Amino acid sequence: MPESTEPPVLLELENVQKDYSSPGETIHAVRGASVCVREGERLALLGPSGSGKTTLLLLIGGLLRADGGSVRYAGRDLAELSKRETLTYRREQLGFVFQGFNLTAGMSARENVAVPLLLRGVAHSQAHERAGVALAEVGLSRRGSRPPERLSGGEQQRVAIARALVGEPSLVLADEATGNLDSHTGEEVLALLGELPRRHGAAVILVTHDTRAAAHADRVLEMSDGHLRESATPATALPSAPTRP
Amino acid sequence: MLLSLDRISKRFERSSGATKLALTDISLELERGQIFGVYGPSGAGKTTLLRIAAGLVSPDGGEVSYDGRRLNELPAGELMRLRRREIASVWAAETPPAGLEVLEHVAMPLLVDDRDHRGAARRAREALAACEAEQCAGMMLNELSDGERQRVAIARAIVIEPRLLLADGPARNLSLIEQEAIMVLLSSLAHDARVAVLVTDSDSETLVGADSVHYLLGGKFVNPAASTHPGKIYQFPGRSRQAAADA
Repeated sequence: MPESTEPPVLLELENVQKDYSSPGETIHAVRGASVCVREGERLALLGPSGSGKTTLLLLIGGLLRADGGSVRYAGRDLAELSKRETLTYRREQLGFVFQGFNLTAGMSARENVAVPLLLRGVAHSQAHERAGVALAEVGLSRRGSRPPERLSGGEQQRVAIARALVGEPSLVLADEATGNLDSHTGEEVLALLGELPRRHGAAVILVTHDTRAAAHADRVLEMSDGHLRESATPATALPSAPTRP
Repeated sequence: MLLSLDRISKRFERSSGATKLALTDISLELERGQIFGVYGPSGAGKTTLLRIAAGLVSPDGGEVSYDGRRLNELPAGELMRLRRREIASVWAAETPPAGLEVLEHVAMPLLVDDRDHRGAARRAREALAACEAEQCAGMMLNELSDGERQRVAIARAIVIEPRLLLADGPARNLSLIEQEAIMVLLSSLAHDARVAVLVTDSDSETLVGADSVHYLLGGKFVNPAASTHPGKIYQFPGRSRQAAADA
């Protein structure tokens, strides 16, 4: 039997359901979503506002618990993790990029990028050194001392990408990362998100309504009214698993 | 004088090419132990005013002095040091990174400043306790109520034991009782811990407890003569405290 050349499965969602209930109304945000993400894979998750994309991302990020089905990461069901284990999972395995950048005002770009490492107990000098390397990767080696307020929107999102990658996560979750950017800058950010995580050996899920994201993904999924399905949009072949540095 | 703004002006270029005057001829002075309240509608220039006071934005005209030194003449490194150790801020629109525990979120400014983890955690607990939010220490940020979130934000600001606290709408979107609790907390910081507090809100009534309250409209302070009577300068139509309570 020839050995499989496919990278190992990193994340597996099986029949995931999530409802939001209020008096007299239940919203089925995610209805039986199933998907498998392999190491180093790039997925674009497309769909209109309110289709359930962000809820799905929060479920994968361990920030929400599924009402049904399972979310398994590296073979382990997130529902079985303790609070401490969930925190460790998020801190060590995931990198987040948000529409609003979520950078801390007043702290320099380098300090913002260093935060995930400092929270892990990495020594201050080492954390700052690695933050500098991460900023250089996103083309901001000369902007490290500036606070977010003195950076453009595109530069702030690059800082956020550096922060997401500095801890060498296995999976980067990007939620509408181009939502606050103009068209040209958004394209640059998509290109970075399509390339950099892969270079680090990380998978990436680009959640967006920006259909240009498909060009930077290996597979495209579509979400509509809580239903998840593989898109008919042609996608490039699955990547081979890169070597983690 | 700890903080002095002298005839500050600031304009922003809009994408259309038009210019918006965000602030015009703004002057204020703030000493340690005082609370200076600024209220006004959305777009009045409140956040811009605070960002200028924090040295995050440079004014186009006028001077900002902190402890006798002009902020715009300080080297970038010294400005960062001041923000790390002396000038704290609470921003209304700030969204913290996801998936953080409250204690580490509050301790973060100390960790960034190369303090040891154990000492930073102890100080973070003390700051949370000072804000009556010690019960939140082990919670995740996304588990907090609105009122708790604001208390935690203030705890994170005061963990560095600042001399100046800039609070941008810290009581926004809170119930009247929670608004009052936030202002009591800020009053205590000013009058007991000798912190200079510059606080904004959309409503003058929220700022009761401030030593002086000023109305900012269209980037200008208006009715300055009436501004020494906190809570009695301006009343939004149909929005008196009693009316809101009765509702």
